Amino acid sequence: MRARNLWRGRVAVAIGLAGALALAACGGASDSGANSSGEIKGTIDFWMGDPIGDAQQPIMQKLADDYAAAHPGTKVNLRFLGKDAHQTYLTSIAGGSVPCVALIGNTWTPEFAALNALEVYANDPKTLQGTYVPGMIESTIFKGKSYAVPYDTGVRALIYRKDMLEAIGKTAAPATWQELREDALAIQAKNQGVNGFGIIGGAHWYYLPLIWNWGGEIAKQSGDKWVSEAGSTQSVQAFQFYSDLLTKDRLSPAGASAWTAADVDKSMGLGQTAMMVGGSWDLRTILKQSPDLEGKLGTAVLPKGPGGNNDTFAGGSNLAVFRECNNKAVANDFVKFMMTKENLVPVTSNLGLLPATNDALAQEKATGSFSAPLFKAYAEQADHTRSIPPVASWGKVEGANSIVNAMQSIMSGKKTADVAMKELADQVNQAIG
Amino acid sequence: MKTTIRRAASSAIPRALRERRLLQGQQGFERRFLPWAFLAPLLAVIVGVVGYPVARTIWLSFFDGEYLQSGPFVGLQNYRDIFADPYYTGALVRTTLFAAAVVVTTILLSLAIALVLDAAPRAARVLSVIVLLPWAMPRVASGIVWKWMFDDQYGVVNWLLVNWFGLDSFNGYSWFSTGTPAMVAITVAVVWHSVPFVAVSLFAGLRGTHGEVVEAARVDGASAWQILRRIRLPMIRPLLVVMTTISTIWAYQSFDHFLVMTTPPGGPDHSTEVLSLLTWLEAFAQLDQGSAAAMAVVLFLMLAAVSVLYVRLNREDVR
Repeated sequence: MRARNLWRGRVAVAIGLAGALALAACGGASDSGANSSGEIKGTIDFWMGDPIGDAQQPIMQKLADDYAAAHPGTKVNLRFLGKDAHQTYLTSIAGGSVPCVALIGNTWTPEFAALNALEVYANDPKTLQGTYVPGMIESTIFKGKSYAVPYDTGVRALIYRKDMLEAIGKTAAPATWQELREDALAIQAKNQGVNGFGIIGGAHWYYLPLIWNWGGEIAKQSGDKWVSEAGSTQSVQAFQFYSDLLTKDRLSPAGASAWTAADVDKSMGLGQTAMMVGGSWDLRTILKQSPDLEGKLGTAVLPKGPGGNNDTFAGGSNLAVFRECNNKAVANDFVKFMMTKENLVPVTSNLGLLPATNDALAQEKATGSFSAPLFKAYAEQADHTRSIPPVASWGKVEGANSIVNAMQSIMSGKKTADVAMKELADQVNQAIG
Repeated sequence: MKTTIRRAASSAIPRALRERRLLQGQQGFERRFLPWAFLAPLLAVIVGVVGYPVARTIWLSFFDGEYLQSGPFVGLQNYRDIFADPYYTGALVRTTLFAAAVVVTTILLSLAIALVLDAAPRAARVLSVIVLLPWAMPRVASGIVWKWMFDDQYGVVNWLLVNWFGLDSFNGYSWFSTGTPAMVAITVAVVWHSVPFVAVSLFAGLRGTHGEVVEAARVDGASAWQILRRIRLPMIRPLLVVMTTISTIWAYQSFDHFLVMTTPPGGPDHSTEVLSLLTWLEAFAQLDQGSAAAMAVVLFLMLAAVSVLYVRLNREDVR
């Protein structure tokens, strides 16, 4: 395998690039079950990535099989794309060889819609209100139309050590970011070797929403365009605050500027961190790693910022039908099938995510996996979510890690928050403008 | 009149001679074209898998790219853009320094290991297998393991530095939150991965230098150091040149270690961005395959230059 020769040496990068293009060029409508009669018959391709690993594969396969069993003459070809899902979609869109239905990351929806790859789901997104969780509807909209069905959502909330908070005389979780900072410092002073708050410098979802909490916006619409608000006073102050938690208050080790959620999960599991912002999936990871923490952990909705809100990002997935699907009758019917409460709740319970329909969410809250005291905060937080700007090229901002790099340059002291955020605004505008 | 003479002359050539000429012509054809006929299938494959991607990449580098699709022709604009981009020029310098560090360390370490193996030929049979083991490890896996070993909180590297070497300043030292230490950690990981192949190759080269020349030098009273420097190393010089070239190319191509060891890839704040990583980010994160192709072409030309240098050096050796 390592028998590299010089030729390979010279062209590896080129082959990598060209390979993707060649793949794109080999496209062509691949669905065998072409069907334009509107009859529920034939084959469709259903693709999905696996943002949380392969745990969801068996349950998805079962749903695909169930659908085919309930509709004789149909077949759902399920394909899991793994971690490179985004690239695979882009390549297949470029090559015109798309699936009929796909479970896509919600931030990709505007991007794929802009590439004219998705079928419109609702011309007026207002009609979706009441059926779906509000923050999730936003993520399906591009230029006033909805291009996908919100499927599931994952939100982050505050995970904290009840025992440590009690030891400093507090009975409730901090309600504001300033309070969180003070509590974390007090805990740290009392418990040697414990980080007051798990800082996650390596993933922007943990501090980008602070801009909202500080009363700012990530981007604002001006006419047909979106303009970054990263340079606003609120944005600068929010990023400065988060950076100060590390550099001034030392609530985590210096290396936390490059930490991801997995690092904090580990530290929390080892009893070395007192508080963190984490998703329900993080909570499950921690409990799996250290079951003895169950009685000591608490969860709460996120603290509010000076802007008076505790809004966070609504992550999750949307179900989309591709425009070039040649069996839309089955595709649309299959989407309907997937969105019923009976079929949605087992999936979201299994994943530890919240369903994006209100009826399924109510069931999860009442009797499902989010009815447990420790998980209730997540269901509550779901009402306080927003979406990233619905811009086609937002994927570039994420892909280039501009936001993470900006935060890290503030944390390392290489740039002042003012300079770093103005630069970030320029970069974002270049990407989305 | 003329024709008669020519006909007469041609008939004057003895028949045997004419037959021989005919045969020679046939042989000439066979010598000239037959090898190509046999090579053709393989050449077609090489042109397909090497020539086409290279040509296509060069072609793409002259076009604007968006979402893996070609935009309008922009001439050399992509090249002007990338050289005007401080992140690209930064990566160019960084990659070169990194490659220099990796190559020098790899060659010196490998030579040391090769000499140890050479000094104990019996043990070497087992030892060379052990030495080769890191090479068999997938780079992504080794990158992850090295990242863990350099972990600021639980890593064995900091533990060793503190407890064995008494360097207390490494207690909780964060290797990946600034550029230089992160580059050091990655260099260690890449060298660890490159040394085995080079060491075993050099060991094989050194095995071939135990002949009469060394014996004669020893009889003449040359010290072991003199024999190594004046006789054995010059004897394996062609091999050293090849190994240096290959290591250089490997180092310029390093990608996996950077991808898995830094957060975000090439971070913090662009401080570990190398050419291969930047090309990948440009193509698949920024989705600008025009600029990415230009970056790939520049890297290709740089590595081609290294290869030419290697061919030259080798030729001089033969002389």
